[in-house]
Amino acid sequence: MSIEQIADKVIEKDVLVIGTEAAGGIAAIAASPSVDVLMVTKGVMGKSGVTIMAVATYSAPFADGDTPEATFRDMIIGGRFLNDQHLAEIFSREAAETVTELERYGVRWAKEKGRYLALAMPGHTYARGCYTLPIGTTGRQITRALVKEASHRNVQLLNDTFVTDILVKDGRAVGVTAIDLRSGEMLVIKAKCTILATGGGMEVYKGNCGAREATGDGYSMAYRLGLPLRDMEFVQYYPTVMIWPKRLFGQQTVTRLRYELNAQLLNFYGERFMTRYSPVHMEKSTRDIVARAIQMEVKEGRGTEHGGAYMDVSYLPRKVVDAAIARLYPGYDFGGVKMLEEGIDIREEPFEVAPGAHFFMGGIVADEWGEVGLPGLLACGEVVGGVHGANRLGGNALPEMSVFGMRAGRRAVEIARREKGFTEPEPAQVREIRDRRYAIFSRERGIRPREVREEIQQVMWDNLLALRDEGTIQNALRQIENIRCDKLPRLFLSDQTRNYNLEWLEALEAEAMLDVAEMIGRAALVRQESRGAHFRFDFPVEDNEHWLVNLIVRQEKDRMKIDRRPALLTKVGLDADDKNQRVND
Amino acid sequence: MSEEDLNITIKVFRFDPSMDPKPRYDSFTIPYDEEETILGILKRIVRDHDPSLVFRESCRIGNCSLCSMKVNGKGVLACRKPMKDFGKMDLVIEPLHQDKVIRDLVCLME
Repeated sequence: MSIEQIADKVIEKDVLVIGTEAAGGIAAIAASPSVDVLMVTKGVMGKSGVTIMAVATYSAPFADGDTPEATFRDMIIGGRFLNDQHLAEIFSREAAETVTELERYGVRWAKEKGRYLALAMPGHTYARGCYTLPIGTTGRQITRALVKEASHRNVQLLNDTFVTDILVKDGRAVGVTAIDLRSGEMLVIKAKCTILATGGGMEVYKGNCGAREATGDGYSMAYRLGLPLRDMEFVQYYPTVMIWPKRLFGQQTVTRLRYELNAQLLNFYGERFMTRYSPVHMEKSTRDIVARAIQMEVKEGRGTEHGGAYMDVSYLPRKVVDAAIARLYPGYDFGGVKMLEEGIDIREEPFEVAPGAHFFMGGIVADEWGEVGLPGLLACGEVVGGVHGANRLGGNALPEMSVFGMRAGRRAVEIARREKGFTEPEPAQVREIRDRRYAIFSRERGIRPREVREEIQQVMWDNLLALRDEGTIQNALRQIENIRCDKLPRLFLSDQTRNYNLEWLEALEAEAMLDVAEMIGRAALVRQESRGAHFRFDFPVEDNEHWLVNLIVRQEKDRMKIDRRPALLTKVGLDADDKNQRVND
Repeated sequence: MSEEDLNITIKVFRFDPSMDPKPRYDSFTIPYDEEETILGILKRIVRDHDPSLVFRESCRIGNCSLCSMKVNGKGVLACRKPMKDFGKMDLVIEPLHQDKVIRDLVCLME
């Protein structure tokens, strides 16, 4: 039987990019128009994914005295020495040129007399945080510019298209299978080179400031191919997102008040609790320290009504707040949220904040061109691990997407040009995928996909947040195992239509979410120390003697295996350490 | 009557072009909660009444505009619009563009 008889539609493209936002969009733009490029997203380009949520800054070394070397050093210290130093060094060298490249695509950076304005961010020794105006729009501007630039360059786009599996033949990635969510049709997309740019997996947590789409599909696809992933135990939490009122849940821009306006954090009893966790830097400590402190307060019964802490600027004279806000957030507009119109007067009252899952430091092991060890497949952006080590500094996400998106795009052109023609995928593999991915339609009763999704999110939230110990991790792993064995095979659809069947998408995503949840849990269990974003109650100290290692997750004979690999301190060694960034500051 | 006892009727546009000859409206009764958002209402309907209802959401904080839809004839971002903005009136929820419906409240966005 031929592929055409199994799939509903067969497409051939030189380069296929999975994911359309910062990493994928930039990779596609870099590859086009040199070769024929197709981008696919399970959402809608420019209106889905996490790039648009990047409200804050874009780091690049433009300040007087700043250098790529200083940037690199800060990244390694912030990453607690677990970074892939080669990737971090490339990031530091190339971040600045991506700022000007994005400007060419239409991003309007804040500038004065021809120089980029930059904000000082925690963990950076210089002010590197480039931004757009009004403040809070950096991600939005980037997504808009990419939509425009991709269309100028004739990059083709399929929205509402969920990639299910990567097709491999004779040790080479030859394309993917996908589902057109609008019709339920199965597509086979043959490609000379496929780029995974699927982003992070924040959606495995109940409280997250990612997006609905961030279910970690790319981690799972790579894992199922037997490719190694690294550092999956390190999930960064945005320390202070609004949690009340409900309609503003997840707003991140307020976090900046900590360092822009000396906002204080108070617990239920009005105590400025950071004195106990980080007496020198207080609320200006790096995000892992602040996130952990708030969680600890909640855990020990000193949290606010809705499970967080108060953020307060009302202790400042009204005149000071008004003047500062007039400059930073004219009209009290926090990235589209007009606080006063929403009935929140920060001059008068504190408001409630809590951490939210924000970024995955871990991901697929890849080199500086996105090569992952399977010919024909590249990966770039958040789906790749290593750049940020155990913790990412603020403003360092977007430049990673650009730097490595551009590189992957260029490498994809070389690969596509080397290939003479398209390789026909194995019909048996396509048949097997079709049977497996459509099996859910034959089940008439069982468990709803949304229930399972919410259960995974709750398990992760309760047990694998910023605060972990052996008991919570084991508990999470047991529940994940139970969901995988008992519930996943019983998922069913309450509606048999193939036309935008959201429950079907949720069922497909649940499988990826379980893989991601298990990777985080298993790695977190092995790492018996606290480092960067990974904190264990039972091992609260950073232990350089035993744990300067990266944990590598891999599927072997259907089982998840974790290997320890010594971290390579090729350029920046422990002697560079800055005590101010230590975990127990 | 206390606010907890107040119920609101939500009429939701339903249409599956692959099966239905024409659109219809389904009604659901939901307790009034002034802080609940339109997106929250839809999730509640899916959970408690009809899991087959589909709609779009992504960022959930008013950034991406993927959850744009019409409520009582007015375009809103479902994730940011609280129930209280409509008083205690019954609500009609419809897709942003009825001529571009893929299914229910999901429209072509490009």
